[in-house]
Amino acid sequence: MRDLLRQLFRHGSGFVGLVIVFVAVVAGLFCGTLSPFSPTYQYRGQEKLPPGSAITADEARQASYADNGQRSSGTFIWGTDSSGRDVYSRVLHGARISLLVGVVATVINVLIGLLIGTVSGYFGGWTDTLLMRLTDTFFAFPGVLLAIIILATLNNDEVKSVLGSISGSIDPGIWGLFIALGLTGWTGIARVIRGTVISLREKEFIEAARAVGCSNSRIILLHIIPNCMAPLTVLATMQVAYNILSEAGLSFLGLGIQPPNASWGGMLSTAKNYFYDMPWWGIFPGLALALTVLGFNLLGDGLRDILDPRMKVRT
Amino acid sequence: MRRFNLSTLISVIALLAMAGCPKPPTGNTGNTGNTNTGSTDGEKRARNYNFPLPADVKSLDPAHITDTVSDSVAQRLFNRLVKFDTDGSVEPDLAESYEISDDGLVYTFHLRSGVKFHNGEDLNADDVIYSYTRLVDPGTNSERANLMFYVTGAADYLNGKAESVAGLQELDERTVQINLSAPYAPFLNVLCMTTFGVVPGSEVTRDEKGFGANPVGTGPFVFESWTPDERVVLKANRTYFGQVPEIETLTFRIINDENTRFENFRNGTLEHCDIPPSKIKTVTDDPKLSGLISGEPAMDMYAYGFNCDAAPFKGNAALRQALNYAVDKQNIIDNIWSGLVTAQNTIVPAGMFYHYDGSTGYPYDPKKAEELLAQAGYPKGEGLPPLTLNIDLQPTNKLVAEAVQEDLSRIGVTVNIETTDWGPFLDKVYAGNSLFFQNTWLGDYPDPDNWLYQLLHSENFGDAGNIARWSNPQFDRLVKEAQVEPDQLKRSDLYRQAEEIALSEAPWLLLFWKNSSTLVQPYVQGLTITKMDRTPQLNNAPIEEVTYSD
Amino acid sequence: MSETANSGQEPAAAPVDAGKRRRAGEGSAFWAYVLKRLGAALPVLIGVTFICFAILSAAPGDPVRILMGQHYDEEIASELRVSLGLDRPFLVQYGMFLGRVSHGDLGRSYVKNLPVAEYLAPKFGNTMQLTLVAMFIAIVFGVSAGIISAAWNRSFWDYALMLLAVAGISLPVFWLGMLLQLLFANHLGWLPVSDMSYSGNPEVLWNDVGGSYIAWLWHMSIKYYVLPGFTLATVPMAIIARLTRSSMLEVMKLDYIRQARAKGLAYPRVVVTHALRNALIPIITVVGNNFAVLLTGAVLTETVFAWPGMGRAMVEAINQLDYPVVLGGVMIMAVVFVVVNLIVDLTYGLVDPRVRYG
Repeated sequence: MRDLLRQLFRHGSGFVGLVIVFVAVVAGLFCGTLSPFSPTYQYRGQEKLPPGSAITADEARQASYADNGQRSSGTFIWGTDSSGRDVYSRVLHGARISLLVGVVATVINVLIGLLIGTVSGYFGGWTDTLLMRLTDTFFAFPGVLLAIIILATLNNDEVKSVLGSISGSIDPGIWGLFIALGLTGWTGIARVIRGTVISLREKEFIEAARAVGCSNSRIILLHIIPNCMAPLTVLATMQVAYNILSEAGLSFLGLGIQPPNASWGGMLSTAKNYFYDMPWWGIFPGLALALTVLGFNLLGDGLRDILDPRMKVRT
Repeated sequence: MRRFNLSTLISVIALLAMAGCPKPPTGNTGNTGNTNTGSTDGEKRARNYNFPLPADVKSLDPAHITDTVSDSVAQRLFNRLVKFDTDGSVEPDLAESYEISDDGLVYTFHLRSGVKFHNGEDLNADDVIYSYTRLVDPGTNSERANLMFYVTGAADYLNGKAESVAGLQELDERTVQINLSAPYAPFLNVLCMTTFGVVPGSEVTRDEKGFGANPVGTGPFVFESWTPDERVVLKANRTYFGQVPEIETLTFRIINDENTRFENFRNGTLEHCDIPPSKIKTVTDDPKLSGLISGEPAMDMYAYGFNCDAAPFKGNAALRQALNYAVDKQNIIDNIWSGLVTAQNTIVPAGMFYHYDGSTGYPYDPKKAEELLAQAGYPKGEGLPPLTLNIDLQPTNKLVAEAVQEDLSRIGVTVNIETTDWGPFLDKVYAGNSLFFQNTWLGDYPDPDNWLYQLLHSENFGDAGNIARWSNPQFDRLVKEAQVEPDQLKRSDLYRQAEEIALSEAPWLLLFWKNSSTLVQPYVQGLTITKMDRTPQLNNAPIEEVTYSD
Repeated sequence: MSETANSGQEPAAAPVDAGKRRRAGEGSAFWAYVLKRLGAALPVLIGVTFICFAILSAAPGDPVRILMGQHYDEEIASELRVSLGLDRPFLVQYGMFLGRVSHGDLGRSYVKNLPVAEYLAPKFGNTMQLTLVAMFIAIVFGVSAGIISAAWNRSFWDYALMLLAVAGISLPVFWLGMLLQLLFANHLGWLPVSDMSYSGNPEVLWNDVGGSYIAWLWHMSIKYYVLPGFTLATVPMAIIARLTRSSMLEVMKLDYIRQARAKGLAYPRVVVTHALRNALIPIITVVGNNFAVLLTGAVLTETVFAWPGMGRAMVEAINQLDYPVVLGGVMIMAVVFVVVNLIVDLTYGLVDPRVRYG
């Protein structure tokens, strides 16, 4: 691990990626304490303020009619939106949603991709044909549409009440995003794992394990999968970037995270109409989104160069 | 060996892209019109009016028009017996004159002579009878059949108990008599609706299903083409019985995106457009644009409805009042609509013979809201389950919902916002599956009946209009009494009593009245935008009277 | 080679069989291959529609209620349900759908009062135009950037372009679109914000531009393609640039390039004629794959630029629970995807004569 870090450090752009990812993770984990204001509280009379505007205790008293525990004064360093909410606090809270969706959806992607890839590659034959046809089918499914269709289906009162009861303080819309993105982004992983497994299958140490009488599941778990970790790490890192982008896209279309909760895509979709008059409202969440995705992509590129120099540029 | 290289690929793609290029107009300018000899802009513009629509037309068959967008096009294709003047009063249209019997039961209409349909056929009294009968024909399955129920025998005909509608009679070729089963004061107003547009029987019977996409009327414009989701093109009716429009071509352009409409207007490719709420400040700050605004507060309501037939709202007026007091309408008006809308303090809008002047409605009073909430059994919101607020996909409506959500959260009421497209939204609300929902209404005719009876009377419970599912026997009685009362002062008094009940019972969360504010190009003359218009559809504005100046 | 649609995840998997060399397009092998590929595509098409059908059947909302709008009547509703087959078991409904599709009938929209094919055809055309423009931009700029990076490997330009390429892959397209609008449309006023063609009177415009065809065409149509075209092109452009660079670097290491250089051929000539030509196969794979992805996934770009295309129509149909349009659209897109992939595979033969179809 330390070795990997050292190599990343030497890699340059990979290390930049790591730093960006680290910052994003810190923002996502500690957005509660880092935020100067509540991400959802509308400071009445403080709407559409440019970055750097300050709110005094007096104004705050006017804006909120009662003592409700909201922070009363400070500076909106990235301005406020059209409802008088602090853009900076919303961007920080958006990081939590983006990273959560990016990582959880990727974990689902990896689990499905790993299962299908290893089974398909290890057993070959009709199992392989069948599973690869399934993979083709999901791959042929038009882009983000499958995710949208899944989200539309989950937009069901019964489903929502169940999800709402288990979500606690997190927006229940996040479950739909986990499922929709988790079920759609695994085809690339499955294919690469299958290829890796096929090349491993005939290696001597696998033959040896088989000769000793290891069961198939044991061979897969103890010998095949550990040897897939290098390409898997690279693919998963880039998949996080892809899933964060997709989440933002879905929120931009008004799906997923529901108001008043903050997500980058959701902020951009409302800010779009006000972009000319209030550019800060659209610039900062977009910048956060682009940088985070860039971070994961740079990190992925770096990891690929270090772990698997022969791997091709992923498309 | 076959040569294949990058430049081949690129040129193939370039060629494919070029294939879609439009052809220059040089070749065909000669045959498109005879007024093209003029060289000034005004003369050329005079031939085309680009009219934006925010959604696609659904049907142009008067019997099936339920939405303002389809209505906007149909208005220009069909005539009714009577029509609204720009101030909302009723004036003759296809009828030259009419008489109403003293008991208010018999309406006699004398038709104009020489009115021809766009297909050249003459319009006669039997076309009127046919068009009206058709509305209650079970085979037509008109969404607006209930509008005919005041006519004697209409319901019997719909239920198959009669061969014809007894109350519709052709006295001679140019005289139609309509008998009502009971006096109905707003009847003439109802007849002005597009639903009562007169259609040619011969065309409709030929292809009833196809008529909505290929309409034939008598109006100032003739249907030319409809490209779904793109445009509807109408041409001036050169043989129109009224004033023949100066506009040669009326092109309805379907542009869903409000900002695209606005940009098109700024580029001069639309003759008018609505003002996106996000651009109101831009427009009012720009003297070049702010001078182009016309319009006035309209009979166009934006409010929320409570489902008064389901817990927790059922039988709990205090809760409904509490939510009304909790919302800061002025914040919504100032911040989201930049002052372009008016706070709603009544149920019946201003601009008719009756209005509840001086009603204060529900002013913003969070303290009172908290008291009422406790009185309703939910002190500080405790015990009240989260309310799901159903709204459509309009971005501005979402901002309004977020403001309401915040206001209600400050008294302890949790609201979840659910945005759905219009169709599924109606599906949910009409079926009574929503507790708390957007409730919008653009007046069909300027009479309090269109609001109090249509939207709150228990005869219209549910999908007929009273989507708040509220009922109050005393209110019902008063509104019914007003329908048959010929004297306007007495009617006003009855409506006042009814409205007071509805206001205090609070079946709705009152928000604001929209404005018909429209940007109109400076050279467009004679476009009178009325309080009955929603922009940019402008259903009632007389587009046939538009002329161009240079 | 594998019978499956080429994934694009392994773009360098060039189907080269050195053992038996046969000319591309020669004899029946070619057509047998085409048939075989089409046969293999059928289960994919069935699978795609089945998944879509299965998910939609679980979706909330009652299409009949939406179909009937305000005037809901239980009796008529149940008649409609029967006539639409909505009362039948799920598998029967799916069978009915497949039966209709096999006759070329995609059904009728619930909302639009039009046959699905008629409704989607112009939308598909609009998206196709935008995609072609975007692909053109992506190829021209992507390949150029890749060549420059490879030819001057490890130079400043190499690093700068490749950093731009990573940024291009990372940029959210809708945000990029918004930024381009802000700069080129709102501030500079050079290009239109949205829409896809001039909506005013073409004759007036013709006179306004003084009868110049190029100027007229620019204002009439071309300028509307610039911003959405570049926005949509960003991601494939970046991918193509990266791939062109890496495959050219790989090829340039090979012996015959070294020989060519040793023979004294000029460096640029070696790069363009030899290296690029041999790097084409993976590039074509990416172009093909991204073409299909762009065609089907331009939803966000179309939303930002209010482009009346397929992606927006599909999202709208999903929002409106207009199932026939959703199914028909997914079907069309899957067909396009399969066909484009097939064309890509066949193109290999044109580029590299060693490719054997089988």
